[in-house]
Amino acid sequence: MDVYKGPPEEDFSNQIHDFDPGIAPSGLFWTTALPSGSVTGSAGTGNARMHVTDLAVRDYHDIPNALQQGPFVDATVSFDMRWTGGGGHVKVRDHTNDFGGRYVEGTATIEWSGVNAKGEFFQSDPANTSVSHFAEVGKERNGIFFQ
Amino acid sequence: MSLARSLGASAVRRNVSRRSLHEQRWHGPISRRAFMRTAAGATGVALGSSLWRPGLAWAAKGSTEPSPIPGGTELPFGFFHFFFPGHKMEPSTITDFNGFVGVAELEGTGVGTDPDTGDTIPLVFGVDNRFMEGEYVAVDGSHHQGLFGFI
Repeated sequence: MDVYKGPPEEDFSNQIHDFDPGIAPSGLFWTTALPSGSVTGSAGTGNARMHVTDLAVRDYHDIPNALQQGPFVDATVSFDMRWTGGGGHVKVRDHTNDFGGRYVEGTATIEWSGVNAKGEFFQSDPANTSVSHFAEVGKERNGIFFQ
Repeated sequence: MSLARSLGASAVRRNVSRRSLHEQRWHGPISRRAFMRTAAGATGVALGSSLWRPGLAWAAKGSTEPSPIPGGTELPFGFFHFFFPGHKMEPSTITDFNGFVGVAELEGTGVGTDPDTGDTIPLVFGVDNRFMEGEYVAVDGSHHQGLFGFI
């Protein structure tokens, strides 16, 4: 979750926050466990909600530093995301990448906040002001479950 | 903006078959080049103990962590186990998984507050957030039900 002082520069020079869980030694990328019940919804309709409060993450300041696993400060984020279907129904069987699924494309909104251990706080504007570039919800199988 | 919008132009997808991943695990994991770096110099500062800390939970149990998908994206700073959001792109970042997924790439505006002065400034954000809920096989081969977020 990235925050910038204005439109993002190509060299990330105006980025001031990069909130993510870090990269695990296994290579698991920016992925972390969430509390049970944080997600509700229906894969068939494309509607879903992900609502998380005070999730512990790290603030790496900017994307290049995060990808290189550089210095960070502890942080927390809270967010309320909602998916609304209504777009195309997509079926995928990708034997190259060993995954398949049925997805419903649509739009999403988010309202969120983040604060780091320095006390630097970010609060997004209301959810209805966010701009959705891509959103989908679905059922997926991969790896051994795709064989 | 999100990672996709920031780095998408310089990214290269790399598909890694299960067979080649198996071979790499024995002859040098593909992820090692990019990820097996220590966090030397990290300056993490502990917050309160009431926070949800899944990383610590994994460390304590040691085995319930899911495995990353074998494929991914080559970026200027290495190879990373994820694909950018998009039509017919894999949203999950964990493998050996069967369940409910969602991905959304968004941008918007907000306000930042300086902790010293209380001054506020208008800011811009970008996010690519995802969820994966269902059955998965952990790194030690055990089966679990879990809920994960890509943040």
